[in-house]
Amino acid sequence: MDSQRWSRTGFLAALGAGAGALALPSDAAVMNMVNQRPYDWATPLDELGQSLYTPNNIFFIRSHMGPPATTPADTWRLTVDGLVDRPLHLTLADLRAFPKHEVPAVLQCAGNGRFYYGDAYPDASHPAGAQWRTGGVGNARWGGARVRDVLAKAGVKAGAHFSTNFGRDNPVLPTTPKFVRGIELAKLMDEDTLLVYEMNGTPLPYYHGFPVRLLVPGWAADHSVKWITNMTLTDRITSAFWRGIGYRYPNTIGKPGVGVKPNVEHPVTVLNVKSILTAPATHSSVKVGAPVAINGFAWSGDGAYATAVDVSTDGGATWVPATLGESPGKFAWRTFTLTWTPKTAGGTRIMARAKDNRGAVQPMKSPWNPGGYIWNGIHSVDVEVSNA
Amino acid sequence: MRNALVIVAILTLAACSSAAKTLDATTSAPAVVAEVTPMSASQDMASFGGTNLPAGRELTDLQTSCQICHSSDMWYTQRLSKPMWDAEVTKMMKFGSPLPKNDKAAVVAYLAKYLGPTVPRRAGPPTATAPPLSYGGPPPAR
Repeated sequence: MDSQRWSRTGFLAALGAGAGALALPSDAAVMNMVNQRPYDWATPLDELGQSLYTPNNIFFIRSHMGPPATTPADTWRLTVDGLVDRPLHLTLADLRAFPKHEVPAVLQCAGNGRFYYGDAYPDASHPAGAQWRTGGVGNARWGGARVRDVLAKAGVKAGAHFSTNFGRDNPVLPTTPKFVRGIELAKLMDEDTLLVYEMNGTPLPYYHGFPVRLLVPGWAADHSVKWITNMTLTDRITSAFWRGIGYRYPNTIGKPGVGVKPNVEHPVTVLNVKSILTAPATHSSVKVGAPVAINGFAWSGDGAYATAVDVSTDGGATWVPATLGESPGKFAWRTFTLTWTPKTAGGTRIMARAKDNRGAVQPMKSPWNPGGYIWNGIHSVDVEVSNA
Repeated sequence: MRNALVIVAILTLAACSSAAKTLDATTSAPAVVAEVTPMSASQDMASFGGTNLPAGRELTDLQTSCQICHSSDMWYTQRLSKPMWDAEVTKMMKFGSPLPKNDKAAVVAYLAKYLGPTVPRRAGPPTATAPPLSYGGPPPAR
């Protein structure tokens, strides 16, 4: 169980008591609520484990400001300007006219796992932010146009090194910084960076950025701006809040629980090696002599991919290689599985530890950082083994 | 001032609600779109069965100044030290929270006292069906 899981009855009761016409952003009957408003919804592990690609209706939702008013497809425009030869104002039809590409990729919130810093560093202040556990991640097939094809049409001028991107979502108060994200042009020009209009073969759902969002695979999901309307190429990175102050990581790891000034931090960009156990469920009961399927997913960040997962069924004392599934793409996650037959009764802890092609290995716990970003500590579930 | 900002927020959300009805039928957006109805502070709290925070001016400040933009779980799920709560409240005031300046110190002290790092985290709302996962290392000290 990931977080605060609501039964359908409980959720509807809450709606009736509080929200009236509040719409369901996804399949709320199974999602775990991280924040009610703006929407932050996590996918439960058992649901994630049902398929290699996370269905759209249970894909996690992260909202900085809450969704914008819906955008009729025929009025949406993407403006590409700044250091370009020919500023563009593309319609959805214009975008669809570019060659379509599909990229299977993990999308993970930079703060996914922030909750666990609190357990791992019990004497320190917890990092500030939404308390995601395991469910701020999903894997989907993203379809759309390559950003570099669009930029080629605009003509990138010499001296352009960054892009400032934002979408139609706006803060409640005009004094709150709009979600504006800057990104290096080199990453935008990657062949797998897309302007996405399809998710798992269907039009991009509203809460995932309809009609168009960025996909910046291998990087924290805040780069994959939803409801995108503007890309402005510049010679220097924006100092906007969500790049200049937010989503930053200390240059030097300091004392747990102590804040760090943004000027001695750098932006959180590339994801790290990670795995999650989707089965068995934590606190489930298994029997001596009865085989148990240990399943999960493993992935890594830009330029890397998971190459091995070791599993422990004795709390980390010994490790056994799991069987990895085929990789559907360098940015997607892979399945891993191991059949375990318990031999003795009692409580035990199952753990998974992924490695990637660069030699990175999941640590027991990630270094504490004030924003609680890119947690990739070893995931575990506790099970009770009973005599058959 | 505070009332004016609340009205702005409600009007903003109401505008979203109205515009949502213009959804293009060819899109994949859900049949029921985001008719976001702002909840009152008490409704927001009630939806989680309350937070067990003591009533008083500080709680009223949280409800009236913070819940304009986000629900109460944004604070009740966090366990921060006083300096980090101070940094969060300072940031939110820069973002436009109408929290009265004269109340800031008391609100930070209140948050640090009742939602500090040593305060056990709640398992979730009453409908939660299972305890949280462990993080993978030794059992938490508390």
